[in-house]
Amino acid sequence: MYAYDQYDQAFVEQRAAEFREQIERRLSGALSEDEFKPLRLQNGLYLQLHAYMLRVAIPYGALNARQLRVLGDLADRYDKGYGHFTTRQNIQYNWTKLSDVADMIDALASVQMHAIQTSGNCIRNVTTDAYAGVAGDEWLDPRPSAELLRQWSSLHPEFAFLPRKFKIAVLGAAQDRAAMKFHDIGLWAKLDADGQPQYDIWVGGGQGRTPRVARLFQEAVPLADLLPTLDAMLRVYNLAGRRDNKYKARIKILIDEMGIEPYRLAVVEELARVDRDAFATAVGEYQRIAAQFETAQRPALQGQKVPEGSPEFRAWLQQNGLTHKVNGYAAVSVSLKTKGAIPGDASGAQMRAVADLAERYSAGEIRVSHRQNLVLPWVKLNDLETLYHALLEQDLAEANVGLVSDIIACPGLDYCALATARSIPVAQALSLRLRERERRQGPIEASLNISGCINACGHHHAANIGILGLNRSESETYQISLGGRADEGAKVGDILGPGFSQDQVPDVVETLLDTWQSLREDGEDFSQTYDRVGKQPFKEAVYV
Amino acid sequence: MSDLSVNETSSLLGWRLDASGALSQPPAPTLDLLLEPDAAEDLGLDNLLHLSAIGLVFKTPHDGRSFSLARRLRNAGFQGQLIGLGRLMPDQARHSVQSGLDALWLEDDLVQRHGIRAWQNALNVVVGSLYNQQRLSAEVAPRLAAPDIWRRRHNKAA
Ligand code: HEM
Ligand code: SF4
Repeated sequence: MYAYDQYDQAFVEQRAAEFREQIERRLSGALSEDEFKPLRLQNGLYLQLHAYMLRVAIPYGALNARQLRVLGDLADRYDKGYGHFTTRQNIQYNWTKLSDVADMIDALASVQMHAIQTSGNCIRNVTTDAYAGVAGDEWLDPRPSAELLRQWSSLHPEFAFLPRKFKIAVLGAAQDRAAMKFHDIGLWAKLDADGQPQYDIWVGGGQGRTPRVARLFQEAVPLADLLPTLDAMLRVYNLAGRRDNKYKARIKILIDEMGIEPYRLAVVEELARVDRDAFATAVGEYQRIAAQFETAQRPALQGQKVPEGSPEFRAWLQQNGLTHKVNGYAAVSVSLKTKGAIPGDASGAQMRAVADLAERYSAGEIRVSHRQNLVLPWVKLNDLETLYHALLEQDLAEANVGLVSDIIACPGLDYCALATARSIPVAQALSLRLRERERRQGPIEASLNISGCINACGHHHAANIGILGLNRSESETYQISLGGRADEGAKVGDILGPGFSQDQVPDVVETLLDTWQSLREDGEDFSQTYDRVGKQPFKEAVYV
Repeated sequence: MSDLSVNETSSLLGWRLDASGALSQPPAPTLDLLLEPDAAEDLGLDNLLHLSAIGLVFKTPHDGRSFSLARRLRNAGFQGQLIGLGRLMPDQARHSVQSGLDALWLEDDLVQRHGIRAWQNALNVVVGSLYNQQRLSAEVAPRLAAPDIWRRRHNKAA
């Protein structure tokens, strides 16, 4: 993993002190709420329905055991004993007090963490594949690129007041496990003929009320050109992006309105002026960072074997395990989607327990996935069964990662000031119903995501079955969309038809699954069946 | 775009925040051009490069276009003064300097509302050194010569 040196440490400590001072000025009234807003947002602080919410960055989803313990302690000390892992490798505390926030930030800084740019109209926390460095299908570890971008974008002076938020994801494997094409910029890192990093740059993806799959901007950009190119891309966006309407301010709309070719030409013109000298250290810095990740990689192990174990253990491993790049190890997901649970929530005690287990069984490392689960990336095969039993004791051994009960959901009306409907109770009811179905039928591989409003934080557009909570004439109604996907074949789902009441949702979802299962041809996943048969049979089944 | 009437500005009671962090009340700066972000595109970059002082207007605390205009001008080799004006916050002083501005010219009521101390402090409480710093104003650079973090790590001069 990447460890801070004295420069990184001083950087987060100075930022913590600066934010403490900004909070003091707000509390004294020197800063108006309108002025404080962009400042607090750039440090992840939202004003929600009941309280302030603090969003903490987990850069590229990587945590060590000490860091996860501190996250657990913050949940107990400053929240109601819980934290909420989000789809963008952050954790949110929903019940913080403004007067506590500076102390929380100090505690984070003490373990090389921060909340820098987890919100606001700036470059947000850079995300990646939760299995980075360990996935069997990886050609380049994306974490050094993500760390380079973290440093470059942190407190970037020019890009702190963009037209709208700006999200970047980096990927280095054949399979997209980071919803890369739903980001403002997606980087698909590959190796050139000499084994050096190069990037396919995708631009203009996003969800919200105008979902867009990113478009290809440029292929095979060498590492030395990466930051100058991003710099030019962002400058053109900052100057030309719309500021008259916040729903039309994302780069996806600029590219819709301007066209990808004219945008590309504007970037080329901008790039010609960029001061290359300023970026001359970037390649050396990348190499310095990459070396840290390389030394943290473990050598292959001999004599490791998956224990025979119980059928439950085998089912868990089959479902939650991933083939490892390095012989002798497995990477396993810890599902935060236990039957009936709130997706992504973990208690302080659970976080500390996972931290202990990571120390004992996973080289002290934990990852946070974009499906709101945790990953233990370095488990020796011999240890798998012992780990399984330890997770079982913490109620963290649900064998459903990647299944239809592995639901993504946003906080919705229970916390969020923008929500039009609740999403948590819908997710819980579905979890109960679908876990039961999986018990009867075995694994059901489909994705189901829920958002509490059109902003789409719960990725409903990008799910095989998407659920969007709306408020129509005083009552909540849930609109269903079908056929979306967030992987390398990214696609926005189609709206099925009129919405349903909260009570109807579980039955409707089961009917949709029945329909898929009856139409499905050998080996087809949900998207393949849907693309073949279209919306009609599903419509007929639910609107009888 | 509108040409600045110097008389108009001189009549304003104003403050200057320098890149060094000093806050003072000198006479209003003489500007060749007051550049509104909306007008920038039509003006053409080449027509600006020979000017000796440009005022960059910030319309709201949320509008960061003038930071990018400053960066574009510096990248294109603009050697003159860049002065920020308008609805800025003390917290944006660092963004201004780091984007290539020389100073801010602030109206009195804006300074008073945030408090003189906040402006005096504006460049002290912030993170002073970025990982990657692009070209500063030629006048400011020698005085703020701490190289960025990447340069320090890799032993390169600023
Ligand atoms: C509770 C406070 C939250 C607020 C106020 C909030 C606000 C928003 C807004 C306004 C948008 C739409 C942006 C646009 O279309 O330009 C959005 C999108 C999004 N948010 Fe949230 N959000 C919150 C929580 C979350 C959570 C908990 C997650 C993760 C589970 C999340 C992840 C996302 C994602 C992935 C998107 C869509 C992707 C995109 O940016 O296009 N947000 N959020
Ligand atoms: S989708 Fe809507 S309800 Fe859900 S967190 Fe985002 S803004 Fe809130």
